[in-house]
Amino acid sequence: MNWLRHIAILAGGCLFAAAGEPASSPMVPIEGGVYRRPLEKDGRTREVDDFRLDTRQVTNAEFLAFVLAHPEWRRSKVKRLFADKGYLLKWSGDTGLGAGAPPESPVVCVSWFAARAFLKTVGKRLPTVDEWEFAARADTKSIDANLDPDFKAKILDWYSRPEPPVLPAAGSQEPNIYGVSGMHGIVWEWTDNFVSAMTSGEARADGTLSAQQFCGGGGADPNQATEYANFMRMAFRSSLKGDFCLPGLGFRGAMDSEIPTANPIPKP
Amino acid sequence: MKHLIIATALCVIPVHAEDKPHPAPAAEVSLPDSSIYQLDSTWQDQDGKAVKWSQSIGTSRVVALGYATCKGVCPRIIGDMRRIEQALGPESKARFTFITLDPEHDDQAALKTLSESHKLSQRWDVLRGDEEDLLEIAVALGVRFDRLPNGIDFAHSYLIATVAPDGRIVHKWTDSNEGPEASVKALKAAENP
Repeated sequence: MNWLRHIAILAGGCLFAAAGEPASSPMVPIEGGVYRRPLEKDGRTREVDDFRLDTRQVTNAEFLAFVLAHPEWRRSKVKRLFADKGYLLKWSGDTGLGAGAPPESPVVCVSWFAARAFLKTVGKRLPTVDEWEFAARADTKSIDANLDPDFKAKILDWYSRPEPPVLPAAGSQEPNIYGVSGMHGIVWEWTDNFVSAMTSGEARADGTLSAQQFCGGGGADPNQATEYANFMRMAFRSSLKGDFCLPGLGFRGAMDSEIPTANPIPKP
Repeated sequence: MKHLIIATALCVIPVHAEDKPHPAPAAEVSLPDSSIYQLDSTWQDQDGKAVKWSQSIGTSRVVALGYATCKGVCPRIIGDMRRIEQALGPESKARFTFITLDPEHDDQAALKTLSESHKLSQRWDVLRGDEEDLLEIAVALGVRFDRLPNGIDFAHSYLIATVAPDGRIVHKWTDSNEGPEASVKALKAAENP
């Protein structure tokens, strides 16, 4: 059935290229399903609806075009509520990229607020934690490679490497089975509802602190004791705040699966 | 109060005139960079009235997020906000703002019931909004939340934010073992600089 999927991916790419959107990454459709969020307790499963995901991260060149069109998002103008002092720090200036930020590399040092503002202008949104994790389980051969030791080893290898001073081009990594590139291996990525990641000291609905949450939980779950990479991602998300701008943190866009067509069929 | 702030802001503009060739509207100029009153959102209160968030400028607020059917930490959050209200006394103009994490289930009637069952005073705004605005204000305040598997309850932060009349967050009460003193002190300082 793989060839079918590839045709779907190609068709999806063509549709979006023809739609004449402002410059941003091509997208591919991702068929939803039931999955387990990494480190979730009690065998809880979650449902992910069909959605569309950018095949790569938003680039410096694309974000520069956004900043030029929306001066309030320039480094010198941005409100501190929306981005901390690290905002676009790799750029050479307000509207200049410089050697540290090649046009085709993922834009980093952008806050959650800035990522959302960019995506709104291209008619997209950030993926949810579940959408992101659902798509990130895939390798080149399978939609769920979470139990494949090689897959895990590759991700952990990236986590342990120091970040290169200049990032490679967005989309330069081998695409996974969906046609999505670089879910692991270039930068960490923002998710829309990152605030749903909690590892410590958060109040529970029953008013008590969860001991499992307090110690991070991951290692305590025997079913998923080896999911160290997943634990790193969830812990990282739980440490973020909306104004944080970090040199290893970028983003990509997502959309609901409904595709606007040229001749919509009227609903009865 | 709002006019007072705008007037003050107008006086300040000439000082910065050189680097501001296109002065922003006065209401924006008066706000510090970190003001959460810059968020553009509209809410519905327990009486069905619309509350435009940016019109909070000039009003200090004590803000927390929770949901109506919450049996655990939310009643404590509301109780702790009332402790702040009692300690402040009538001279403070602060509003007490409880925003539901569950606008899907907490309709206006549920918010009305919640405010009546807690005998909340006229100084309370019990608000619901759309999911986007809710997420944005949660992120801005630093509140974390997640719907639990039963589909009804939420895991969420114990967090009571004290917001100055200009929208700066001047205190966050995040340890339920502490008392209201720090919030009260921060609020008084913000209202009487």
